[in-house]
Amino acid sequence: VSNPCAALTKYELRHLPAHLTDLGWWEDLRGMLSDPNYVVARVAVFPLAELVACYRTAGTSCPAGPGRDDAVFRCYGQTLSRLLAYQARTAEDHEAVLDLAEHAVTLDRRRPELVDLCRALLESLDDWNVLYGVYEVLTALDPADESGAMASFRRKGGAV
Amino acid sequence: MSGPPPVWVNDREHARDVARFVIEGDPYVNHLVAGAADELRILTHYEHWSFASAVADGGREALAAAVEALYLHLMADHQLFYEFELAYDVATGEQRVQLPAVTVRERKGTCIDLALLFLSALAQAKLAPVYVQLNRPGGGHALAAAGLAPPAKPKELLTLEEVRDHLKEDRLLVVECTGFVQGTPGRQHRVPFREARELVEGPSWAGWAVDVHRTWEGKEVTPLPPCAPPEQPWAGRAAGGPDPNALRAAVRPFAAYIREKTRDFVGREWAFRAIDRLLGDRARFPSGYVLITGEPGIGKSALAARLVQERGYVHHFNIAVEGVRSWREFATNVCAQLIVRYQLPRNWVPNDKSTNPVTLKELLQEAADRRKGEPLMVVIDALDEAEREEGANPLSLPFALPDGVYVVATTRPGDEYRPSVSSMEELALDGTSEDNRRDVRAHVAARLPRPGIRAWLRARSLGSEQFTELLCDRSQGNFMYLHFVLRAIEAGEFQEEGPEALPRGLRDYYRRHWEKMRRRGRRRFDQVYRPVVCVLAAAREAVSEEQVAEWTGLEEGQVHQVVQDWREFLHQERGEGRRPLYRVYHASFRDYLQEEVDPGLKTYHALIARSALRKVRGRKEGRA
Repeated sequence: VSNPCAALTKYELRHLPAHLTDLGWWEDLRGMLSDPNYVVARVAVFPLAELVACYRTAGTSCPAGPGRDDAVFRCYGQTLSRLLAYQARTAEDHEAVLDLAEHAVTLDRRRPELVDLCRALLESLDDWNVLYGVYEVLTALDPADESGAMASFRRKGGAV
Repeated sequence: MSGPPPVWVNDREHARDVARFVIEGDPYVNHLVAGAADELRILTHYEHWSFASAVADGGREALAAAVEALYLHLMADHQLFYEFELAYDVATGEQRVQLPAVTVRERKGTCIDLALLFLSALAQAKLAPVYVQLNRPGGGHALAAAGLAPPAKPKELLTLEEVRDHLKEDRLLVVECTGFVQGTPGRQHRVPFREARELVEGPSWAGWAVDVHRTWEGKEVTPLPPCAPPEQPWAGRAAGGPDPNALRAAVRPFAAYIREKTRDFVGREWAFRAIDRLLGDRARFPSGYVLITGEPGIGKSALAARLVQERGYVHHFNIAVEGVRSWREFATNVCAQLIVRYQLPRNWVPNDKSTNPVTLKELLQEAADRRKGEPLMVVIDALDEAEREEGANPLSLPFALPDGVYVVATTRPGDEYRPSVSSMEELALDGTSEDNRRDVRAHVAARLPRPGIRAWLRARSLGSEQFTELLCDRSQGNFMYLHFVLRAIEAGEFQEEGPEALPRGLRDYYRRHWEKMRRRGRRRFDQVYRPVVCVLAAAREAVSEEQVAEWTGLEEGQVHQVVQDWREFLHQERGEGRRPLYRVYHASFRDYLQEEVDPGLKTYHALIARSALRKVRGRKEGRA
């Protein structure tokens, strides 16, 4: 079954969060930014860095009160930001990923969303560098599911 | 990097070690790939390229074309020579191989070295490198290969049989890398691809292959670090790299924008003098920001563009209606300009926002050092349109600048647009000031000889001076007003009106034009014209007529008609396949629409959002 977000045009993939922000449709915005389908469709076309910036903007734009959930934006943003660092394959790659794993574990409250996101990424992405980062995050978040994560990663061709 | 030259035991047991010598991010290789960026249609930094998206977008053909482009670039532009394998130690099985940077520097390499160079270029271009080793009694040979599709059964170490299977399934493209070196004149560029395939399929060969990315991921083998000064003093530019020009492709081209903004530019000498006065007083103002403020349409962008055009300053233009407003675009563009212009020994630009102020400051310092006391200028247009994080300066601009460094930035008036910095001087473009009125007069005078304007004046028995003074008052010193009104008069509009009926200010012009268009057919205007124009104003970047038709539910022909009728308010650019894309010409027009026609343009943001949300299966259709 194809990703429903793949039906969006490139413009829509890139700018829908900004329009939702302009409208103050916070629930839709939160739903969009925490939807693994959207994350996967977007990072397949646009750089992760743009999506990370999107989380940052969303986190600071949402007004206080119901609907505001900057914690989730922040944790997704940080997750992706670290994955981006890993994708860049810089000399600090290893440290960044370990740091991410460590950091992610501290986000107890949001763990289920992160785990879902990582699983979806693991199933959907083909970029091996990102996949390895996701694998590390997932196993840090949910050590009990390490064998499942490893199976997914290996299914995609990763060597652990 | 120092120490003995790297060696590799060239046998199947140590096969994966070959991946150490494939270097991604090496300045030399980066330079090669950047040189082929046009053909590859990618940049080596921060581009929207990944193996996955390339597969999704263009499939195997696109990937094969990218590999071929890289190959052609190496063949055409680089004096490389093939060296017979003298480096093989039969007794130990050790193969001395060299880093790709050394191959480029020495201009020669064995088949293995050349394959490693090509594989490094593939990795740098985010393609999928696979090393192929061929063996038979009495000799061996090395080839590079590129994955054209994610492997069905991914493996780190492949047998030659598996490579042959991949070839049959068109999942792999093998490359004979001695083909891009000198000494083989007349060789057709496709021959190396064919030859490589024939070699692999030849029954006399045995061998194996290594999927380089997969080996890196295994963590047991990681690439050797790139060669870069100061670790390798020989790797200076005189020896071939790293070449700051490799970042030329990361410089954002604003030439067309600058030409457009400075068309018919007159006056502003007083502003230039004021800037020079500030910069001339180094004791009082050793470094800092010069903030040019003014209302939309007063000519801030034109002044910034003129400064760049006349003086060649490092520059960046934020253009919100074009979607150019992010820190990333700014940092990439300005840092790349500094590196290229001042030949700074860097082969990267910052990609982490948290380090930007420091990195930009470092680059500014290094560039200023090369100016030897002469001021270093950076022009940044439209801070008010730029991305800004809570509590930070727009574009995360540094609080303090190094000595001798000046940033000339433009913005609307208002505290919310001002950066918080240690040293700043302000230059206000005041529409009512005598300096500005003088520029308005010069601008009008330059257009007086035009036939349409002369005819309009004659019909109203209006003298040139009267007309000029009238426009001085009515424009309120706003050049966007002059742009529209003079163009309208020249085009034969305002025929029914006397001089006194000319609009008062830019906003009044917009208001009256809107009403005039509406009077032509209220129903059609509200159902067709209004949604198209407002959706174009709400869009975050230029979009196609087809996209507007989808959002508004109108026919594409109807959208096209509106675009034609409102051309003077729209800017056209070209998208993929040279398809025309449109956006509103100036932010002041969008301001008018969102302040007077539809508050916040919310109706049209909602139109766009609903249309997109509807497509996402299982998602509710926005709000009621």
